[in-house]
Amino acid sequence: MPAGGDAPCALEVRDLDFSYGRLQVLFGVSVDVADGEIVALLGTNGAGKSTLLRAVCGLDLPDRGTVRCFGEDVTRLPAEARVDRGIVQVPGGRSTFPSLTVLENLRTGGYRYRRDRARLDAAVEEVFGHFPVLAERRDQAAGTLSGGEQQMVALGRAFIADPRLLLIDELSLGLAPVIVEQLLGIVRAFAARGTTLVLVEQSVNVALSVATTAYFMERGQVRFGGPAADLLDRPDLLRSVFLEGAEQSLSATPG
Amino acid sequence: MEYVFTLHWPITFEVPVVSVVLGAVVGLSYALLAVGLILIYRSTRVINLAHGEMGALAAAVVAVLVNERGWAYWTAALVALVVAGFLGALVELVIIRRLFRAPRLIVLVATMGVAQLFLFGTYFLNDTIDNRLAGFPSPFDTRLTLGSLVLQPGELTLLVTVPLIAAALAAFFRFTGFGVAVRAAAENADSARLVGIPTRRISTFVWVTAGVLSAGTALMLAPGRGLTVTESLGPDLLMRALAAAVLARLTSLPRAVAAGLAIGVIEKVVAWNYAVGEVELVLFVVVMAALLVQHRGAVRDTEASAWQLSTLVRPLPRAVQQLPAVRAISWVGLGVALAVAVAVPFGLSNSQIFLLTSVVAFAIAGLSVTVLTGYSGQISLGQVAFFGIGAAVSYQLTVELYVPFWMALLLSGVAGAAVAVLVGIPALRIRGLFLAVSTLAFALVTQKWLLGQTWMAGPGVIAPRPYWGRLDFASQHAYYNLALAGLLVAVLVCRNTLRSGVGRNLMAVRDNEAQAAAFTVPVVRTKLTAFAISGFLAAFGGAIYGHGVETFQVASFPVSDSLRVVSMTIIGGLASIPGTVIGAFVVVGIDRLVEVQYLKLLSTSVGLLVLLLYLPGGIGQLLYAGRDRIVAVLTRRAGIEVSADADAPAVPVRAEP
Repeated sequence: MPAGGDAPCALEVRDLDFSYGRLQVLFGVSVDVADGEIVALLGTNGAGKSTLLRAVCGLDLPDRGTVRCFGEDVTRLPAEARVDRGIVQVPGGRSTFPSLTVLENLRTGGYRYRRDRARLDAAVEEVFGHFPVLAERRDQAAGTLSGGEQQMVALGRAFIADPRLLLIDELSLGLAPVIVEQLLGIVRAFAARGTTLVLVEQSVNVALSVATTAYFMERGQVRFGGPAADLLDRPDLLRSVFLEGAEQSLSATPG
Repeated sequence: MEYVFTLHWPITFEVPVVSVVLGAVVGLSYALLAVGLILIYRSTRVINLAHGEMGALAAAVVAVLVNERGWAYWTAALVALVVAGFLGALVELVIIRRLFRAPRLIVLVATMGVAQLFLFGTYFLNDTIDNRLAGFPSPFDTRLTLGSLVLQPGELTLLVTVPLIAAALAAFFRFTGFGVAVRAAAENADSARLVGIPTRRISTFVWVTAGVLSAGTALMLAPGRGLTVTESLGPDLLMRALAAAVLARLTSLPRAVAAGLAIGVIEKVVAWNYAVGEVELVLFVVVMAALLVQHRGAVRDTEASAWQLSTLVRPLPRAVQQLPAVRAISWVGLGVALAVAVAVPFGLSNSQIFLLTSVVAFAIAGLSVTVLTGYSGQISLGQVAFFGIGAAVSYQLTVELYVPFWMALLLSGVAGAAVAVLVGIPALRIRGLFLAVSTLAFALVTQKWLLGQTWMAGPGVIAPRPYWGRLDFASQHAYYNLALAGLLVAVLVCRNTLRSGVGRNLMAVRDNEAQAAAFTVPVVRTKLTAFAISGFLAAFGGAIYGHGVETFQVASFPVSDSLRVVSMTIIGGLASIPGTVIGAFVVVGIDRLVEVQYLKLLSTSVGLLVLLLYLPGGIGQLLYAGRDRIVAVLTRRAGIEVSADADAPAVPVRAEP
């Protein structure tokens, strides 16, 4: 069901309040993502980006507000049920299953259609096509891979899960630019398949190289939402991503 | 076929074939239990102390149905397996799922409560059987005779089924989508949910499987062991299964089978050559060696963090803390408690006063857990070993060496500290649940071997009570007052430990070991200090207990008491001194006051579980809530403005993941 304009909304977050215990982290957050769009979600450390993703995916439930995906209210659905509706997240940090082999890790992505061997095998081969290095290491425990290779496994797993809406938390964190470029390959493949993408990033360059729309969060609130190009005209916000800490420590230091 | 292979060098050691075969059979039962333990550990990250009891209850169901109701064996066995699966599901749904985010220690103690509850059920069912002579029902009558060894039907079944079950489970986890999903869910629940794996349903599935496996083991073991299979599924069996599971690094099922076999064979061969106590000694050495050679990677950091227990005590704002009235609260509380404790025995009978003396002694042991687990974050299921060692050492010193009583109390504490440091050294490499395993093994070896030595407690000793001229502590009442003084000393030791630099180091290492090391906190010394203080307190309490009872022997310090010491600390609220003392009163008090064994099990287990589910901070949580009320009134009177931060929740909030 289209919300607002003509394009059907892949994700529609309205007035979301979220707390860990008594510590409120999100304050009235609203985000709209149109179907097939690529959105960058930017912000400083502790701005609430990852928390927003957790609420969208159902790992934690918000206090107030609604999350609608493809016209359906999913605010109270458990995470597993949201995957059935095509909502998948690549969590930040090392999110693989370390003692499982690369192949086993990838196959968990197809858990929902695990009885359809042919489809699962084809999906795994497609991932191997994007990341040949994973094919070489298919029988190696994922925990023994490098950080970049583990991120490939996590992305590949999500690819096999065949999402309509994919949320990627910190794709580039701690990785070399060469590796990031390889990872962006599969991100573009997602986009080509028509998957709606939300990229949480600290690296503005990476985010804006693929995203058309951007949201900027600070202290649990959305401070900017609009075309990515417009965000580039807001040096005040962008600077804070990189320099807030530095500016504070500069002003705190006498002389 | 009475073949005996004899080794003549370096020691004469016989290896009879019969013992090897028998060892292999019992080893397979350990293996099957170990498989169940591994499954649960993988999915819930906890050692299920109720594992044996799930099966024992199912076995009791079979005994009742066949012996009393005349059911056919196979129908009854099927019903029992279903019941066991149902029990597993029930535990998972009612307890484990609710404690999903709780520290693993709390979950461990919860499984202890479940074990007692199931034990109650088993006793209850066993008591309804009138026809006891028939023995435990058995599926068929085939027996295999090998020389002097007769293998029972159950044992024959073990030989055939255990390798098959282990192989089938291993294949399931390796080759099926669902099996791989089970492993994935165990490793990273969030990531698993994000690809649509129903982690909760999987957890229930694992508990059901474990229940059925445990029931299967019990049914196969029972025909050889008689109706009261319950007693044989106690700590001894648990320890052997745990040893096998640990040797398999709590992951590999085929290795668990091999380890179970090895343990069984070692046990039977050693028992042939030496006494039963030496078996425990050998097993202890095997477990410790296995734990020490495991490389660090075996325990992942994620697990270590699951053990962190933040103090529930909310610190007061500095300005409030310094109010004289506020500072007086704990002293006034201590004074009132002491006055009550001194006044209570007047008008009580001697046996009631003795009960109070045991409460006091166990409260000291409880404080040793408060220091080790509450302050330092290291778990021990073997505190009663130090308790027993303290009693035995103090006896030896006073009676054999004529050391004055005071000195003996102190020295037995020192002995406890020394032993605790030795036991704690492996803790530098192993942590969390693995430490629970090694301390449990130590408790077993202490009870079965160490205390039985003639230079310890031997077959049973009478430790005299002290007197100095006219000051005679021979009467129950006088000795109670002495014990109370000992508790006061222990409380002050705890309190001062907490407030000193040592205490800050303990908590720093507990909360973040790497960070603490970066700030030059000596991690090794700090951990061992915790063990030393804890060992001192437990042995000190044990010495007081030893001189308080009429006589004591090996059986006075059963391993299960270690679990009770931990549970009194949890009931009291970990890291809360007054809570621990109250917890000791509740646990020991109920135990000695309730005469019927059944009701004892029922009341302690249900009480423990309700407390864990609804009052995770224990009694201490209530105490501190009360304190905060009083402080609030005092603060308002003093006209101190309290910032909003002081209103932060006492239970720590989780940081952004």
